[in-house]
Amino acid sequence: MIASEQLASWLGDRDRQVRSHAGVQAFVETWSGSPLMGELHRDLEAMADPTPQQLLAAARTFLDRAGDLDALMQALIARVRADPFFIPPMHPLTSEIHNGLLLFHHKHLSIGMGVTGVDMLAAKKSKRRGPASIGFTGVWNLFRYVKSGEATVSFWETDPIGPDFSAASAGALRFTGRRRIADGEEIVIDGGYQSFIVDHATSDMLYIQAMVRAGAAPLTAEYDSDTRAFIGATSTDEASSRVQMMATLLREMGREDAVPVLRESLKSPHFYTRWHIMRELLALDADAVLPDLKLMAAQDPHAEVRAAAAQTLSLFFDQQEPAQEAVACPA
Amino acid sequence: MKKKIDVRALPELGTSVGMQGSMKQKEVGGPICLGIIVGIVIAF
Repeated sequence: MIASEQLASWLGDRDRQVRSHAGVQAFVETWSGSPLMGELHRDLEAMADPTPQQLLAAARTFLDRAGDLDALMQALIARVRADPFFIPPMHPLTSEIHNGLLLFHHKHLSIGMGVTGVDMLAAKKSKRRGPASIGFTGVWNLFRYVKSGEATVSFWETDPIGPDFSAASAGALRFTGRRRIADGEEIVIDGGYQSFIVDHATSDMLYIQAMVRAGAAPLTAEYDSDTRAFIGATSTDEASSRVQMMATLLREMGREDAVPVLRESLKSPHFYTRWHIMRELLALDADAVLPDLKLMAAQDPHAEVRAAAAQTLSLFFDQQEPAQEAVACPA
Repeated sequence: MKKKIDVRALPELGTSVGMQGSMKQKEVGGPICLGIIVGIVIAF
């Protein structure tokens, strides 16, 4: 690494490094201790089982206190100006066209602030070869554009993504409109069936985004922008994805003693998790989970899971018809 | 000897669903990635 003179000087000065670190620590206390952050945190903690609308309202209350947020950002900018080695103590949020910081995080709600760079947007659009994809995040998002960049955005919808979602019945992408957005405008998107794309902008877009976790669809869906057909899905549930990975690891390790614990995960609300766990269980101890497999073939709420379970019974257990057992389906 | 079925031989669902965070969000507005949020303050 070739360090600049300023960086080399800082690296060689332990006291300056300690001062930089202390500055970051002091700012953490300023930020975390601010009434703006504290009150939002308390409001969210008081919600036992919030709806998306309640969380969007809490986010709006936060965003409406623009003066308080502006004061905190000014304090952050002052710190950065005073010390080039001050590192903002927020998680960076970056993509091909966005640069931002995570301002607030709670299990129900995350708020970020970012810039959609007009140059980055233009570079991405000009590099494009072939079709792009349009994604549906599965979660509610509120965007407030502090500076709209005179952007034109297009809005898209698909059929609601529910627990019975399947690729075969996903339907097609629908274009619902295109318009220019204005400074201060708010866009609320239910990612369970709505999405939008920035088609064009004349300058950078500065926005605050609030992402709500309550009421999330079970998965994100991605559609081809040209054919408008469904092309792929991923889970919106981090915990269930971790359970799936853990189940695969335990199967790879041959941990038959994990079977009782893994069977509990057959109660997952997500069809893809239920079948993933069943596959791993069958690879660990097929006879132990035969009753669960029969139940799944007969009663699972998702048609593809029922079909896969029935096919497994037929292929590996010599049973053509799933048993009808008078017990409740775990899902 | 317990009966074990090779997981590769088992049927897969017609609807393949990737792990959370495994799809790179493209042109959609919104860079908050569910998989990378770790909190507002980075621990030192």
